[in-house]
Amino acid sequence: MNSRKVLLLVASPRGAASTSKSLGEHLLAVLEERGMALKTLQLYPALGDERKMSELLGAVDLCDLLVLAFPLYVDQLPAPLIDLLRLVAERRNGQARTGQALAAIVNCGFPETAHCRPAADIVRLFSAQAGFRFLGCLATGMGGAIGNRPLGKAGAIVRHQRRALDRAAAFLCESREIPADVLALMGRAMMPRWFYNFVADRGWKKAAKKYGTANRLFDRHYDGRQET
Amino acid sequence: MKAVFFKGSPPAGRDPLSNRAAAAVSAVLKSRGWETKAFPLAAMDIKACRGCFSCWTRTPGCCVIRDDDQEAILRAWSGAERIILLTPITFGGYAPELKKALDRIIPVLLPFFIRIQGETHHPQRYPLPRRLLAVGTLKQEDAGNEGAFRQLVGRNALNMGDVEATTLVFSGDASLAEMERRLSQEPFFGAEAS
Repeated sequence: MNSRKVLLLVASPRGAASTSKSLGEHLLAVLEERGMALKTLQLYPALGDERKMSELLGAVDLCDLLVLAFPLYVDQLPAPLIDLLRLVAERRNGQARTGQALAAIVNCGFPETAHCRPAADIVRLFSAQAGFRFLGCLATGMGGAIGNRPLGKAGAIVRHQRRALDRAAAFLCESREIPADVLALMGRAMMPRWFYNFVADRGWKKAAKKYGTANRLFDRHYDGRQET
Repeated sequence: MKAVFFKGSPPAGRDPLSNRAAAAVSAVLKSRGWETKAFPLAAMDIKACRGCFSCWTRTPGCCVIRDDDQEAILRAWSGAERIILLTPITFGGYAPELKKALDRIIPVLLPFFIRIQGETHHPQRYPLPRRLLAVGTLKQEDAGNEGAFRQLVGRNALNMGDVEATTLVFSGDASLAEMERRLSQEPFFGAEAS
């Protein structure tokens, strides 16, 4: 029995209906099978809510393993998550309790996982500054293909990601770094890039049609160089 | 020349180094006589992106959050040829004061995919021959943080349409005069106004 406490912090504005949560919960399910005590919190509902933010910060202090799950926004972490990490680091100011570890799961809508590299660096640098032992950042592209579904319902396209999360859990359980081959497995393409791009482009057009904006997708709402 | 200056320093007094760098950038911009829109982000009401992608589908090019200060930034960006980002380097990236504005910048992109340097990116809704300058500050020299920051700026430049990017990092007790001197020498600013 492993009595260590895991906190999954989902930092997506889509909250319970997010790909970040789907990926994080798959990992958590495996950690639970291995006897770890779990807690999941959402960051966005805590923004501007003192009680929820206090609960969240307390949970970060108490956990043995913190797992951050977030979407890639403009090449790195969403702003509210950076804000939270800065607050955590300031609160600790070198006084972190020993033995805490951190791992991250990031997904992006581009087909290439390489877009996520700066985010992995940022989480690693935060860990060093705030006194967490960094165990790795599991990054995947083609996040749009998961479409906020639980991984178990996303079919064979996410087989690499499921296997990577399963294997990563074994290492996280023992507070060991996730090996490079598992990180690479997590980043493997879910489908050929041309097909993902084709489906994504078609998806935007389909959504626009639904909203009656199909002929306005290229609109320039502002007046470019005329703006002062 | 039209420029947008994202001043991502924390509120005045919290980070003198970053505020000094902001003053140096402002001074050089003034000396060049560029038409500049400067945004003191820490003082602005900019809500978090909802990740709804309405700006690409339901209201193309326009964010559905209308009750904050972001629209002025989108308006200025659409016509800017020079983009200047200033931030205290935070875990190798941008401070939340700057990042909250950048998270909401995606209405200036189109949803579709194009290839740039072998990778997938989004086309610009307002294509212009832009250049990017990123100015980061560090309380003390730190190669790890600086390296991550430079990598991030490079990726941002690709996502802005593979624009030419310049990254400057000021650390320690760099003086205002020293900052102005280094900034003035950057090709980004061109020649000094006569």
